[in-house]
Amino acid sequence: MSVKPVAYQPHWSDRFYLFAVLKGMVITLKHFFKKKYTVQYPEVKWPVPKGHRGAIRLNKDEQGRMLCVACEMCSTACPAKCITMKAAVSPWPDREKYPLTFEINMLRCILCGMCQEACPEKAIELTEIYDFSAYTRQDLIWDRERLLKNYDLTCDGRYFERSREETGL
Amino acid sequence: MPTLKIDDKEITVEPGASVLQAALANGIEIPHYCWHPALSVAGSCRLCLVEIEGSPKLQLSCATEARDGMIVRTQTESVKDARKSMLEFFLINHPLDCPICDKAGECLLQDYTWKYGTSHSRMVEDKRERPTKDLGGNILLYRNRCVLCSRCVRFYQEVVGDPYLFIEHRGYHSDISIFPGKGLTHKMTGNIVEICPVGCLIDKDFLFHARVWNLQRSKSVCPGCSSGCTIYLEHKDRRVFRIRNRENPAIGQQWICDDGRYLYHRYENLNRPESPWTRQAGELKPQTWEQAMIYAVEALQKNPGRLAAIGSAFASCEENYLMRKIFRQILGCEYLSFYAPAIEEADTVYRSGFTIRGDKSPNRKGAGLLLGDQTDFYQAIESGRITRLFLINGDPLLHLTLEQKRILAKLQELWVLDIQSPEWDSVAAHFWPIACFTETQGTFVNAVGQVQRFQRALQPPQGVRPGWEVLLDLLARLAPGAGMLSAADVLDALAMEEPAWRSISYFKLGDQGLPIESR
Ligand code: SF4
Ligand code: SF4
Ligand code: SF4
Ligand code: SF4
Ligand code: FES
Repeated sequence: MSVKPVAYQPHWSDRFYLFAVLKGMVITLKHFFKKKYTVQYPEVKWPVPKGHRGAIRLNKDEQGRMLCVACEMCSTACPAKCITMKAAVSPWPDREKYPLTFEINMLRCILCGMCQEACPEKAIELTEIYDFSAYTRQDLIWDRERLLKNYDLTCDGRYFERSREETGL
Repeated sequence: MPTLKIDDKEITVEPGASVLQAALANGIEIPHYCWHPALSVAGSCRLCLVEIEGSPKLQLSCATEARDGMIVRTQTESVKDARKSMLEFFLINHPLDCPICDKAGECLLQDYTWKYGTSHSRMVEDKRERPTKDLGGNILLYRNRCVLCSRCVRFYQEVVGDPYLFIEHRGYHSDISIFPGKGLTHKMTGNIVEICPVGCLIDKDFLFHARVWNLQRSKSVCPGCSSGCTIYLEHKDRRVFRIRNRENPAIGQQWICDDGRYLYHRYENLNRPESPWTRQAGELKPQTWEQAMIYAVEALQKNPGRLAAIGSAFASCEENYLMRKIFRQILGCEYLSFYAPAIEEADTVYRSGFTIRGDKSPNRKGAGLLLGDQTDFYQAIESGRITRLFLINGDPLLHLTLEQKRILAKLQELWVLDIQSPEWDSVAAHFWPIACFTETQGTFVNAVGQVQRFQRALQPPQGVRPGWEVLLDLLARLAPGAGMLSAADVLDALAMEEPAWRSISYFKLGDQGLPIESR
């Protein structure tokens, strides 16, 4: 089977170009009045749908104490083995054990959510935060305080709205 | 010997054995709490029920003697139902706080409930709550978790021979309690944490330190005394977290004492240099191993006449053997002996026969067989018989008296191989840091002459080398072609040379070791 090449033979109206330019401008003009889809990231953050698995947080109770009891169920379930902790006798009378240190290596975390599934205390959760890049590797090894801060950022469910209010966009 | 049938399996047992023992010895699992191989039969947990043909009701397998022609079934509906109900009873007031219970992962209540129990609770009432009690010593009693098997109570009565614990009140109000005025500071106490089938007795030394399934186990031998109990070193992240008993039926060892159980703390934070050092113009100057070896080979060969070598009751047989080989056979030293701490207390024997020895070194027998009698080398130094000394130690509690330091200072040259340096800082000319027992491997000969092998659990820190490896290196430089490369090779060479060790090898020693003197 042979193929016969056919050269592109533009119509005279195409060769005239002006019509094509006008056609393009009409499309642009139409979009000018349509709903906008682009967001001005990073000033504006695109709100992710519910159930998005992003940065991990450690939850707090009503008194602001962490809920975690350092049972290591999360680190046992974690397929990436990125959770490490050191437990100690808790300073509060209503529980016995708490994590003295709690560290998640976000470089290794695959955001699978197994830790959240495994936790008997609902103390660890994945949040809607997806913008957690950093300049050094060390910055992505999150300690207890950083994980608790994620809770403060997201507990009211207004993480994205707040970022919009802050930037005024 | 009675032959019975358990689940259609023909089993022959010793006369007097129970049905439970017969089943367990043949790989048939019957759940049980109160029965323990080293304790009397209590028959109180009612979990070991089985069906025996001819009896109208289920029978306790732990308290029923295996008889000829018996037909036992452990998997029938009624047995399963009984287990399920018993486990439900155990869980009525159990807090199910597995996530924060140190026993989780090795708990029989977890295992049995998982295998034989139900996954739902019908208990809607509030659970009874009893506060945790501190029993003194290292023991916490989490009363909510107790299944009242009475193993701990019987342990003190039968093994130790000195009752500490008892069951207070009766029926629903039963509670483990300690006799007034007593605290659980007894030297055998740690064992009750191991025999408690649930997380009721918890060791403060391990409390919340790790989850047990994350720990790795290495088979080792306790260096705490010359009983040489076999143990597991349980470790993680280059640190030992606890020591557990590893029974050795070959010498009838069933327990370990608390001295041994907590002895790993002595080996934490050892004060040791990162490389060998040598004394130059009064200063301790770090050296590489290569430099240290090259110098030693030259200096040792120069003047062997008044050189002496001292092995150690804390060093393995391999190390003591290499000391002998290097210094007697190659350098021709006359004076060979070994270090061992003075025996300051008598042996303590408990009711079950378990003995804590007064000899607080693990390998006095092995060192003695290899290096001859222990002699007072300080005297020999004083009298000028020794002018240069090569010494290996390994005792974490070593303390040199001022008098001893004064005598050692008389030496022209002193090489020391030890696990820590502070004691030697003022007297040694050369110090070589060697690995401690958790970081190396070898064999010890215990007081009853059992050669037992200990395996490496941790990696020695940077710059620290196992003693046998250092001595092997030295040997290879002094007499090339010795043909030994590993600790196993050293033991093989030792077995070829010493009739008492004949045909002993790491492979043949296995987990239980072999006796040395019967040959
Ligand atoms: S999200 Fe998955 S990978 Fe990340 S910490 Fe949790 S369990 Fe581990
Ligand atoms: S599973 Fe939950 S309670 Fe347990 S250690 Fe992880 S975060 Fe803490
Ligand atoms: S404390 Fe443990 S060993 Fe003692 S009776 Fe209770 S469950 Fe049994
Ligand atoms: S009896 Fe001796 S060898 Fe056994 S555990 Fe105690 S100290 Fe260690
Ligand atoms: S083991 Fe038989 S009754 Fe407890």
